[in-house]
Amino acid sequence: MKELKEMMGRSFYDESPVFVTFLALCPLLGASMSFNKALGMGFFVLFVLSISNVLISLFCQKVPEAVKIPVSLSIIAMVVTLGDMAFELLNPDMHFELDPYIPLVALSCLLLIRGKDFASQSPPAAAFQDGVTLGVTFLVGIGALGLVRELLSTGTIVLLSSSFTFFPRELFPEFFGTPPGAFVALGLLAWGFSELKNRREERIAAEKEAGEAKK
Amino acid sequence: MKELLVLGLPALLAQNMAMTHFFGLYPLFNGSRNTKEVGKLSLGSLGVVFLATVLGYSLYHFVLFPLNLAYLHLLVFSWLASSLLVLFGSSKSQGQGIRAYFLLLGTNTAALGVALLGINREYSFAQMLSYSFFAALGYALLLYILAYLREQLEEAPVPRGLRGIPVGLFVLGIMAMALQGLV
Repeated sequence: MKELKEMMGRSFYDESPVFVTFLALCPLLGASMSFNKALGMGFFVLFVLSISNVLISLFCQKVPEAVKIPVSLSIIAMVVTLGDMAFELLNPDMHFELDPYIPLVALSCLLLIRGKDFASQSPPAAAFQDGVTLGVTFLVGIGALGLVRELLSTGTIVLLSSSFTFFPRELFPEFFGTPPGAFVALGLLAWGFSELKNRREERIAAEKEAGEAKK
Repeated sequence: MKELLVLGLPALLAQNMAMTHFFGLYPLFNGSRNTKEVGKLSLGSLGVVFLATVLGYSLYHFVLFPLNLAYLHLLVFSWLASSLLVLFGSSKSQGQGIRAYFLLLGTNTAALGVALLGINREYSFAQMLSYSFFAALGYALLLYILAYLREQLEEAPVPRGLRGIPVGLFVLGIMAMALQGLV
């Protein structure tokens, strides 16, 4: 349990694709107008990332270095196509609203970098674990961004079919729902996140120092 | 001719694909800051985006769609992207080693986005040519401008937590806001 917590912490603070490496910006910004859409995209990326990691780890171990990228790209494209079809079947309305961003996940750098750097050199189980932790990190990040943007642009959070109103719509203009607002909202969140990260690092350094002083 | 210009020209600035549709943001923030290299990179991405968009659109429109194979478009596009990666990535004109691959992949994402938009809006081939040319030109322009701005930001007094990409996001947001006034 403690190991899992440590792994999630590392993935969340050091490798978060949303706030640290900024690898999947296109689906992230395009799909975060509302909390619902953000969750849809988050679960889609979680699904695709874990499946494609496992497949890449199964197929790419013995593939020569020169064709690793083309093979990984084809595997990712197949998984995204299947996921796209499943998404359309399960929730046609949201699929239509998220339109060009779901297929675009196929060429996002996040999947290829994880596949090439990690999954193609490790056994399937480790690759699956890595995909799931990274996918959950992405889900948390995009959920936070969607929540902030929807709250600040409409004052109401819609979760599935129930809605919660926090303040009247007139209080904020619709800025955070528009594309420029997406950049600013992500910039603000990333600022807060890196302050949090700095504080954590200082705390860890202080603990280490205390431990050494005890010795 | 005039209709084609009216269709394509907004994609240059007011509806720049990076700022309104978020396509291809990775190379914008991770490309080189050296002015000379960025010139090469933005010229290269102009070529790659235009070429990949037109090729992807033609493959979809003239081959896959008539054969009822439209569901294969992502696979075909990823083959197109990887062949472009092999072609341009090995010539080392766009930086060094593995980073160059990801810069190229980012521009390919942009191309896929533009091609999908054109397919969804049911553009004809001539319309697609005009739209993708102006979109690619706008993208290359933005790449160049942002590299210069990032170079200036390096020396500016920015709070520690904002250094690097977050302040770049703010800059891009403000640019997008200003350009929306042109609509």
